[in-house]
Formats: sequence, structure tokens, C-alpha cells
Amino acid sequence: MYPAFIQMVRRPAVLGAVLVIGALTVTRAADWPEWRGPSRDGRSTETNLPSKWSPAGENLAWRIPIGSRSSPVVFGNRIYLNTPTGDPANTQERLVALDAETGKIVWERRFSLYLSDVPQHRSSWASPSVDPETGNIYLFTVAAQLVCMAPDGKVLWDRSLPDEYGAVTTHGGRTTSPIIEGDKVILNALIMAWGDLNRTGNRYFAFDKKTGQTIWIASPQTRHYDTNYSTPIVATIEGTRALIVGGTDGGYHALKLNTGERMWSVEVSKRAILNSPLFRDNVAYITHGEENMDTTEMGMIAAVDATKTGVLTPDAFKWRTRGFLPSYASPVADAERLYTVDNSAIVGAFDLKTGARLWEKTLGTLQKGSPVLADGKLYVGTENGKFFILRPSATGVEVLDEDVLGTAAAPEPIVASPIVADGRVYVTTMEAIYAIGKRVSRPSAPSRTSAPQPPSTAAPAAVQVFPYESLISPGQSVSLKARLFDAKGNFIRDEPSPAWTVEQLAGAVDAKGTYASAKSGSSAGFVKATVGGLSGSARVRVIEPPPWTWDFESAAAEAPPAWWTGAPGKVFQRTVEGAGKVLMRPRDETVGRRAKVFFGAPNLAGYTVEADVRSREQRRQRGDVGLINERYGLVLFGNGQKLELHPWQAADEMTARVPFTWDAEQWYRMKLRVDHLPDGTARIRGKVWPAADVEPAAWTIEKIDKIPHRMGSPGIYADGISDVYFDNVKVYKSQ
Amino acid sequence: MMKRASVLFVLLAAASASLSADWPMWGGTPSRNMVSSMTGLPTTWDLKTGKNVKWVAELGSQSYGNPVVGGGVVMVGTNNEAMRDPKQPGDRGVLMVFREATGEFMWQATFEKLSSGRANDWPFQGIASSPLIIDGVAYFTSNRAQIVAVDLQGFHDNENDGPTKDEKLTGKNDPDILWIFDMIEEVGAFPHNLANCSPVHDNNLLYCSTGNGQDESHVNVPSPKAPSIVAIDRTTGKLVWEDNSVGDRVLHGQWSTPAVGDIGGVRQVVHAQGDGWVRGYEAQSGKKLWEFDTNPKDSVWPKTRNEVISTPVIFENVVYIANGQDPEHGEGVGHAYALDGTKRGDITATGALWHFDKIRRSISTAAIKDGLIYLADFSGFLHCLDLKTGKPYWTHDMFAAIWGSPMLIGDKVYLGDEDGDVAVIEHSKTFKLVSEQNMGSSVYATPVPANGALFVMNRNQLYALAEGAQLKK
Repeated sequence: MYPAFIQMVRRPAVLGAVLVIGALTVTRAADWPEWRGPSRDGRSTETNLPSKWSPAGENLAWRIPIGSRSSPVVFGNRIYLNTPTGDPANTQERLVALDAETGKIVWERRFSLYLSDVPQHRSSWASPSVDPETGNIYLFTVAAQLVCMAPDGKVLWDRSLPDEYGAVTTHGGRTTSPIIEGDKVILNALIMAWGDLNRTGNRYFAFDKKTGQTIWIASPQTRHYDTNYSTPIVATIEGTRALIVGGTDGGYHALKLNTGERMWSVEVSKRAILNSPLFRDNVAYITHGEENMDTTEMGMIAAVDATKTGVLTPDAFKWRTRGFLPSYASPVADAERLYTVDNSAIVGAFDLKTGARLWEKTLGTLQKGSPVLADGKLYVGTENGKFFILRPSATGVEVLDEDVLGTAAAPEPIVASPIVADGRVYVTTMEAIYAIGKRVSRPSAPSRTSAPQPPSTAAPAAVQVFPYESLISPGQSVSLKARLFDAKGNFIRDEPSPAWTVEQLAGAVDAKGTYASAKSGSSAGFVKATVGGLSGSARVRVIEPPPWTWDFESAAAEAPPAWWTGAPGKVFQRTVEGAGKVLMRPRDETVGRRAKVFFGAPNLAGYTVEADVRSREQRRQRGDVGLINERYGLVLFGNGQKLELHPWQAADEMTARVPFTWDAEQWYRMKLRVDHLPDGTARIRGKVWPAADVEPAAWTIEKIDKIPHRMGSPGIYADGISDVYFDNVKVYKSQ
Repeated sequence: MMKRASVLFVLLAAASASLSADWPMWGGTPSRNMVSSMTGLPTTWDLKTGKNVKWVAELGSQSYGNPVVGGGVVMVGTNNEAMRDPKQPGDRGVLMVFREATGEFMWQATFEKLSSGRANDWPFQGIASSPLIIDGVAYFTSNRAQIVAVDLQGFHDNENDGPTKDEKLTGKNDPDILWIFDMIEEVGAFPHNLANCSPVHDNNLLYCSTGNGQDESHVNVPSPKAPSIVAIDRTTGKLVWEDNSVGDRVLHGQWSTPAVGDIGGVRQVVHAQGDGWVRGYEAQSGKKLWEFDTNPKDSVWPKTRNEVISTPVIFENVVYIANGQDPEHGEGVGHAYALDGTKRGDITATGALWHFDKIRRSISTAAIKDGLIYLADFSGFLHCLDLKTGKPYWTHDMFAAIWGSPMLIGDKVYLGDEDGDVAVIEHSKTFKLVSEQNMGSSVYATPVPANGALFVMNRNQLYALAEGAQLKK
């Protein structure tokens, strides 16, 4: 019933392959495998890089008319770029692999987007990342789908965070570029799932880079302000391998790389942090461009003692300089100075020892991208379409080169950051990539190596159960491992005989850590491993294959079924007048008014979803109700008196829409099915009729999707502008 | 108190409007022309030495409600980061009131953020409405999409003026609220990101944009039946008329503020709305007279199709307006027009007296005098055009984004930018920069003249500048 997913989590060979922690990884210094570069600090050690060029041809190797708001990465002779494609009615994200020598496309893979508020013009927000060990490419789409591709473009695995974890992707588009470290792919997302992840919040995920299985999920934050895209860096802090990353809570956080445990947090702002930090000699250099905690002056550049632990107090700051606002650009630093660019495209220099503001230079009026520092030069592009090569010094900055990309009347905005690889500088605008300078492919020294480490002999301090998350059918089982780590997050061993227990879950776990589910029935809960005084848990859901029917009449509690994703606190099983027990989404005046609830596995296909719905009128306002099936939404709008069918609501041109008059006192029945046609397209059909009437033969709305989705969890959508109800929900195999 | 102020105002108004040197509303007068005949204001100043600085008042971290001056007070919209009352903590919209002569803090009105979050009430944006001061009362829009009427003197007059008399907070620092018209409760508005309207009036009516717009999906207008503009009885705070010509066609939000003036012998309220159209209404009845689409028909949102954030200016029977977009959307093409508001119906094809398409996206309001019109754009350019033809005389690059508007005071144009520079420029067909001063942080607001002083805000401070003044350091 869930072929790909189940095979993935049960294949023993796959489990065996992931036991090596910290495989040998080698990035050539000449590669630029991730957004922040080979050393994750926006720097390259290359020399003899271009000081002059012109878009008209001087020192320009090639220009190709493929642009993006995200930076490309370079690995060997390949450039990988995440870029939007297709007309407004068929927009997708695509990963293009270019020949670095010529700029010609070698291959491309396209990904349709779904259930996202990110508009088309902000798609392809995040840069791909390349695993230096395998050359595999990792893409995180604005719809929060994580995809792993082989160097030839073959998709090896993917994770759909919206239907699995209730990931929310918002209008701003902010999406983190993943990093690859050791055996892990690491990123963050705003989610609301089930169980211990049942509250909306920003979480950090570590996935196994070979299989996509979840290794850990960390929740270091106590609040969430805005979505963000602070890409983590990896640092060794007094022997502990650590991630340092800006949170959506206005803090920076250090987490143990192997376990996700928090080492320290420091609160610096009242808005999300969008910048990546720098780390050197046990000092973290952190920046932001928003409200500070203790002054009306906005923005901060600061140096923090990274060896401290817990919630850091002001004494952890070596210095703080306020009043410079780099909301978007991440900093770079040479031996003496930190450089960054504020929101109005002023580049500033700050003394690394004291934080003193040394000098500033205006480059334009709007800034989004980050500078890159290489060969003693700063490379920086502005949103005004200007690209600069600057030579910074203690006293100021010399402009070596300044060019307008595009025309003065229609400049090409630069949102991406430049990158440096093999003697070249690549500049990405919203319209094109420019390859500047001569490509020198040289086998250079590795810049970043993490050799396999011998197991630690220190005392255990944490138990990690792997895989951390599983979704299976009744009668299936999962083999779990209890991994032990020391206080510095170093791997000790797989514990052969922990005490295994099952919590909130039907089924049983044996002494070897094999959890066997019950033969029937759905449930969700945890399998716990205890070793001495330490314990760790894995999250497990067991979901019966459809058909499903819920009339809610026998509900023992208000809470929705435990295995639904995105449901806790959003929908309730309640009695309403005249209808008995229903599933209710009460009127909600909070941020999370628009709720998506998913019933099952993210790879279901071939089902029809039906439900009775009603939207009450309160304060002259009526809420919206809808069904979700294979990533398509069918939504009845209360105030709008219309019916919409969409794969990606924010992409208006993809939406089919008909006026639909429906009143607040009546129940209506909705039906949504997806059929995959022989020509590769999908026919999506929706039907709505008064629930008291006989079902009409004709469909109410239909869409042929040329870039169709092929699977997705069934679910419901509700916008609690007023109380809305669902009843008699059914999911069954389409006839 | 209200009666006394009312009498005073009538006397002043009867004598001559130009004698009143207050700046009682956004644009100074209902026609919103950013022009003052005041002379003797400083053209240079120095924040470091205090030269020509009369006083400075501390605001929150971001301040977008342009100052207004009247009845001896200065009112400014800001946020709550400079928390003045520990009992009113957290992020809020704040209207701060200072004594005009000294900058002394008098009272404030604070408003909690809407629980529905950023879709309706963006964090830390404070109150972005510029109040209307008339008859001793100030009218403004809170971050909660309420039109609020408050006694200018707060409780400093030792009276609790009504109709509302049951305020919970009645200290000297608290607002004496007369009435509140809640546009979410009363007309179903769904303000996009922030309701910011600066009210304008004609006789007993107040006009205000509802801010109704999209939800966080940015494709769905959740409350398509809510009006774009409301007319409120300013004595009772009750709805008199409303118009919803836009329906679900709001491109994004509705942040333009209406203007009032006589056009072709008819008193009109002119309002730029969320579909990128400008509409003229008969002021008292709300009857729609004309409408004009500021976007070329082949334009596409958001790349080339714009919303309108600027305020229309009414000058000698003509309406002047530029379109643009939310600053968050960056730079792009813009359009500025002179519109013949004496025409009726859809005047898109017939109503433009001129069209200036060299302007970039603009959120600034025009200043008009002596046959010249000054228009600024978000890309940092100030354009000086011939008023009759729309042909440019000169363009000046400020090298930073412009959020505020050029203010023509006497024979000098004052203009601030995001890098914190305030340029002083000769009012002339030929460009001449008089001076440029930096205010320390972004100048989003428009400099405002009143009673011999110039009021200039940066992000978190309000400066009163006056020739010969010296701030003690």
C-alpha cells in the first residue's frame, strides 16, 4: 500500500549502510558545494581571481539566460542551479546541471510545487547542496520537499515535509539551503505534526543523507516569530562538533551535530534571524538587522564566547555594535575585519577584536545577497543590478570594478550571492548566470575533511533511537537501533541490549529492538530505549490502508485521531446542534487560522476523498472548507462564494475556479478525485452538492494538470474565519 | 475643552487659512499638497553639535506615522519599543503626543497587536497613520484597523470627554478616547499587513481607507464584501457611507489615503484603491463620479502591474498620483498621472492629462507650486516636472530608497531617504542642492513644517529643528 516508503524503512541493507558515523568526506577547495562555500564562511582560498570584467565581454567566459534568486553550487565540472521554470500556469522548480566549462545544460529535473503559500516569483529560494563523498545533490523546494539526486539526476529518495510533518511554507518564500555534514542532511522548517511535535514551531532536522531516514529532530526554541533561512555552520567547540544557526525566535543556537541537543542559545532580536554566523577560535560572530532586545536602535554585529553553555547572558558578548542593519546578507571576515552589507546596500567593515565601525560605502539602495571574500577582494551584487569587485582595507574600500547587469532601464536584480570555483567567479542575477574569468581546473588540497572517527570511550550521555520516525501499515515491523553518544556528542556504540518499551502505540517491541505493530488498527506513539539512566525514543505511526470512514459519533475525546498530522489544537470532535458529533474547526483569530490536516502516508495515490461540510456565519463572516488529495486542494470559500481546485494556491494561474453559491445553514457534500491519464497528465475533479440531495452525475470543477503530482496524503483544509464543520469523511479507492 | 478649541479654530479659519501655521493632517490640508508657505526654517542643522536643533524626543524602534502639529502638541505614530508604561508591555502600536514647544512627553495611546498576526498587523510597524487634528480632536487609524477619535489634550484638561467615558486607563499618560470605529467588526475589513489610513474630512464626515486586502496566501481576498473606503460621522463615530468597487480584485493591500478637494465645482473625495484604480466620489453622498486605472492593460502583477500607496493630490481641478508597490517588493517600473477629475465614469482612456512613465515604483506624494510638480520614487530619484505637460526639468538621485515625500516649504524642497540623509533643494526649474544632513538612521517620514519649526523623524527619534536653536548636549 505504501510501496516506496515502506521498502525504504524496512530494507535491512539500507539500515546496515548507515551505521558508519562520519564517513570520509572531501571537498576540494576549488569546489563551492553549498551556499556558504567550501568552508561555510563565504570565503574561498583561491587566488588570481578576476579584478575586472564587463558584461559586454571582457573576462566573461559565458552568460546563460537562466537566472534565480538562489546561488548555484559547483562540484567538479558541474554547476547545479535551482531555478524556476514554466509559464505561470505550469511553474515548477528545476535543478539544472550545467557544464562549468561551457554553461551548457547537461541535465535537468523538474519538481512540481504544492500546498504552499510561496508565490511563483519567490520559488527556487534555496541553493542545492552537494555531498562531497558521493556527489549526490540535495534540493529543498519552497514547498518543503527534500529531494536527493544522483550526479546523473536520478532521484534517489525524497521526503515530503508538508504531508509528513505539517510543514508550513509562507508567502515570504524563506527556505533554508540544506547542508551536508558527515552522514547527515541538515535543514530547518516550520512544522506542526503529531505527538511531541504537535505545536507549530521551527524544528531542525537531520536526515540520513543516503536513505532520507530521520536521524533527529531538534526543538531548541521556545517561540517562533517568522520563518527564516539561516543556513547552519559547523564548528568544533572545545571538542564538540556543533551546528551554529540563527533561529526563528530571534536567537542564535548551538546544537550538537550528532544528536541535535542544545549547547547554548543567545537571544539577540525580536524577529527571526536570517543570517548565517561565522566561527573562529571559539568565538561566534553573529549579525541581524531587526529589533534588538534592549534598545530602540535596530541591527547588531556581535562576537559571542561560544564556549559558554545554556541560555547565554550579556557577559557572553565580547562586543556588540548596533545600528547597522544586515537583515539579509550574511557576513564574511578576513584576519582583521568583518564585512557585511546592510539592507540599503551599504557595505560596512567592523574590527573583529573590538566591533568598531571602521568604514562604509554605498553600493546601491537594496540588498539581499551576501558578499563573498576571496583573493583579498569582496565580490558583491545588489538588488539594483550592480555587481562590484572591491578591495577592502583598514581605512576604506577601493572599487576595482563596477558593472550594471542588464540595462540601466531594466537592470537584472541580484538576489543570489556570488560564488567562486576553479578560478572563476559566478554571478547569478534574476535573469542570468555570468561566468567571469578563466576556469582553471586544478586538483587542490581538501578544504574540509571529516575522516571516520574512532568510537568514543567516554561515558554515555545520550541515547538516540534510529530511525527516529517511521510510518508503517498494521502487521509490518521496524528494526530500531539504540545509539549511544557521549557528552560531547561523539558516537560510542550501538547498544546491544537496551530496555525497549512501547508508549501510546499498539504492538510490541522485542529485545533486539524490532517493533512489530498490531495486525489491525491505526495508532501513533513512541518506542523507547533505556540504557542505565538514559533513554531515547523513536516516533512511530501505524496507519491502516484506506478505506477510511469517520462519522465521529463514537469519539471518546475531543482530540482528533493521534496519527493525523497537523490536527492537534486545530480540529476537534464535538457535538453540534442538529448534527451530532462532527469534526469542528472553531473560529480562530490567531496566526494559524488556515489549517491543513493530513490523515495518512504521503505516498498514497488513486483514492477519492469525500466529506460533508458546513461553514457558519459569524460577524458577517464565513470560513472556508476543503479537501486535500494527492497534493491537490478543493476549497469552498464562504465569503468568496466560489469553489477552487488548486495544486498550489499561491500560483493563481494554476487554479481552476467557479462561482458557487452556498449558504451558512446547510450541509454540503464535497468530493475530490485524481486520475492519472495515459498521456502523463492528471485529471483532477471536484464535486459539491447539498448533502440532503442525491449526488449529481456531473462534476462541478475539473483541472487537467500537465505537471501533475502523483501521490500525497488525503486530508482536509479549513480556514476558521468562522466555525466550520466536517462530517462523514470517507477515503476510498477510486472506482 | 473641545468647545474652546472649536471656537478658536473657527476664528482662525475665518480669518485666513494661511495664518494657521499648524500642520494638522497628512499633507497639511485635505488636498494633500505637500507645500507650505512658511519661511525662516533652517536649511542646515547638525545633530552632533545641536545647531538649529530645538529638541529631540525618543520614539520606538520604527516610526511610520508622520508627525502632525496642532493645538500645541505634536503627534507621532511609532511602536512600543521605547516602552513608556511597563503596564503596557510588548509589541504595540503607539501614538505618542509631545508638547510642541518643548518636546515634553504628554500622553500616549497604545494598542495591542491583533491576535491574527502579521497578515493583519505586521510586527513592530507601530501606528502608521498620521492623525487628523480638528476642533481639539485627533482622528487616526490604529494598528487594529480602528478609526480612533481622541481628545488632543488627553486627560491633561482634567475632563473625560465622550461619548466614550468608560476608558480603563485614565492617567495623565493615557488617551481620552471619544469613540472608536472598528473596521474589522463594523464592515468586515481584513486589513492586509497593517491598516494605516490617515483620515481626511469634509464638514462633518471623515474618510478612511479600510485597508481590506489579501490573506497570507496573497491570492485570496477573504473578505471581498468589505468596502475600500468608509465615511464616518466624526461626532458620533457612526458609518455614513461606504464603497466597495474593488471586491475581490485587491492586488495586495490598500494603503493609500484619501484626499478631499473641489474639482469642477464638486467637492470630491479621491481615493486610490487596491485594484490600482483611483476613484472620485461626491464627498457628502459617496456617489462614485469617476475611476481611472493607473496600470497599462498589458501589465502583470507583481512584475509590472502596481498598487497605489501614494496619496492623491488635488490641485486646481486636477488629481496627481503615482503608483508603486510595497517596499518589500523592491524596485520596478512606475507611472505618474495628472487626471481630469471633472470627467465621469471610467476615464482610463480619456482622463489622463499627462502620463509620466520614467518614474520608478513610488510610494511618495506630490508637492506642487508655481507650475512645477515634485515626485519622488522608491529607487531614490526625485523628479521635477512641468505641471501642465508632465515633461521633466530635472531628476536628482538620492542614492537611497525614498519612502517619504518631497516637502516644499517656501522656496526649498526637503526630502529624506533610507540612508538617513535629508536633502534641501532649491525650488526651481534647474536643480540646485542647498545642503544635505544625515539624521543617524533611516528617514522614512516626510519633514513637516509648523509654527516656525521643522519636524523630522528618523527611525526612533523625532527632531524639532528651528533656525537659531541650540540643543544643549
